[in-house]
Amino acid sequence: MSYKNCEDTLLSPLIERAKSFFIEDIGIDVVEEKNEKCQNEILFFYHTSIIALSGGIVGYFLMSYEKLILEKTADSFVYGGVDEDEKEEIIESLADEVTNIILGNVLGSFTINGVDTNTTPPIQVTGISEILIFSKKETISLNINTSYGKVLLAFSADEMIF
Amino acid sequence: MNNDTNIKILVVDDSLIMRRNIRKIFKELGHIVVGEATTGKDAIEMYKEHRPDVITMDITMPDMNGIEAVELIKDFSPDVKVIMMTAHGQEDMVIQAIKAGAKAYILKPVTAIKIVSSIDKLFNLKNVEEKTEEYKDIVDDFSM
Repeated sequence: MSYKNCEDTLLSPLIERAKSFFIEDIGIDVVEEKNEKCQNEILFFYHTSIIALSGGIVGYFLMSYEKLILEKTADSFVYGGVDEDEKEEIIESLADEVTNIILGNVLGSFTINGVDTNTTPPIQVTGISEILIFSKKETISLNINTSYGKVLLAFSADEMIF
Repeated sequence: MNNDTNIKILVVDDSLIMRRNIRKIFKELGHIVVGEATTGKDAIEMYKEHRPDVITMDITMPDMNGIEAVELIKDFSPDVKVIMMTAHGQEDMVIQAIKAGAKAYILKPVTAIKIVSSIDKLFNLKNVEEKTEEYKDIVDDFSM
């Protein structure tokens, strides 16, 4: 699969679902987006959720969020609002759930040669400015800039996928 | 189940926020959440303990996934009513869930209207439109 094919087949559905989630489900404006093939180094934002992929595609999908966008998302997503004493725990769980929903909703696009792609539960990484290196993997990433901060989507898989 | 406003629910999901949201929706709808489990194994134990009318079951969880858990519960309780709740829209996943014994399937994000529709389907209650009208205030509050 070429980089262009990977972008069309795998990344585009993720981007479209992420945009529709924030715009339609949450009510956050998406200002701009920018994607690039990176050198296996990713600058995280405050909360990051990583999901491992197996089956049709072997690799990783992650979404990294600035804190403000998660707080705004919580206003719409969390029924009954969030109390201050539970805020941090809810925000962490929210990052995982949004990542899981966006990937899961488009997972049908990740069926390669009739083999479905399976996912693990998300793994949470909290803290800013971490750099993740997926060895022996190629990575493409996308920044979505919204009216409430940035979200990074990154997809990393074996070089042959690209 | 005594009547359609008093359903006992077991919520199974490894996500804190999903358990919280599902519990709040059912509570507002007048139902009773008798337990919450975060893994398939815990779900089996809690099902034996509480014997709920309905299980809401996530699929992707650590330890044991939701499909395996439903298959094991069906072995000793064939009539159990299960609503699968998952982000996965893959056709094969839906088929596996139905084969395992799920009676309804909700694609996340979960909303009140999806839950109302599923409960209606499970218990052959009033038609969805009538039910939705009955719960209109709750659905308005909880629909994204």
